[in-house]
Amino acid sequence: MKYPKEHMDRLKDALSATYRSKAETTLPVDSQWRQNVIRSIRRIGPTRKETGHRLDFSNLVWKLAPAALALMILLGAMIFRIEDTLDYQLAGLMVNDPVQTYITIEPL
Amino acid sequence: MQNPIDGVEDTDTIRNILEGNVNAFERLVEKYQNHVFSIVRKHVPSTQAHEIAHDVFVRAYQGLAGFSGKSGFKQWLSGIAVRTCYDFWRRKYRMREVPMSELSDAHREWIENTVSDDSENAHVMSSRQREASEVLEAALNQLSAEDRMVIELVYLEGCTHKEAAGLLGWSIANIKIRAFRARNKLHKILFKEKNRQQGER
Repeated sequence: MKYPKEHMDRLKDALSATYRSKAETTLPVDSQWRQNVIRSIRRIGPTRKETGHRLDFSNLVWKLAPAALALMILLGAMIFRIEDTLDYQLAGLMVNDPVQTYITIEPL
Repeated sequence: MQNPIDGVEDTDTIRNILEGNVNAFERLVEKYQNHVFSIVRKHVPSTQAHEIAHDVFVRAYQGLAGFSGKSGFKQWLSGIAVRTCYDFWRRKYRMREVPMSELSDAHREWIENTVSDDSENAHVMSSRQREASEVLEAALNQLSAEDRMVIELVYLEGCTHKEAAGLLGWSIANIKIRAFRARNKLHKILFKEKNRQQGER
């Protein structure tokens, strides 16, 4: 449904005025609050300018994250398939090799 | 607009902090606490404002090493304040702690009279602050955290798309699309009852 523009404007003006009035109500900011902030800062300890190499590396890590994830999925799938094939190959060897089977079944 | 002298002072203070003088950060807290509170107060409930403002300064300190100084410290800090408020709402919505109440009859009456052509009545209604603020809260609570922030910045504060994009760290295109959709959602919420009544007639 379409609403008349002047209705929308009136409502917007009233709501905006209400919203702005929230910012005008001042909250008491005492020195205790400031001291708490500084205490938290001291707990963190000194902060230092990061070196260019470290910044580059952290950016690179996030850029490579999707590629790393895709690679992990691919490798996982490959390992899963290889394990499957290995089981079949071992079973095949056991069945087709009577000597080995004999040794395995009756070692004594 | 930031005073250039303030900018130089801030740069010196920041350099001092990055050299290991943690106590110098108190100068920045003292200087910008009112500015941060004026932002935080608009976006979150007053009961949470002190805690959120605290988080803003802690985040600012933690990110100080990455401050490039291009846009000025005040502008940079404003962005952190807005994003901290956004994170507050994301957390609240995720934990379903936001009260989702429908607008009451008194609220509907306030909307009806505010948009009416009767200017005297409209003036009286717009001066009824309690209803106005309840309508605003109830409507905003029904939006998502993203829509809420965009509506507050663009629709209610009158920020340009570029300014909102800078504060939230989103692209301008994202802000434009979201502002358009969020405004439509807000109108639907505000006029839902009116539409229903018209449909029943």
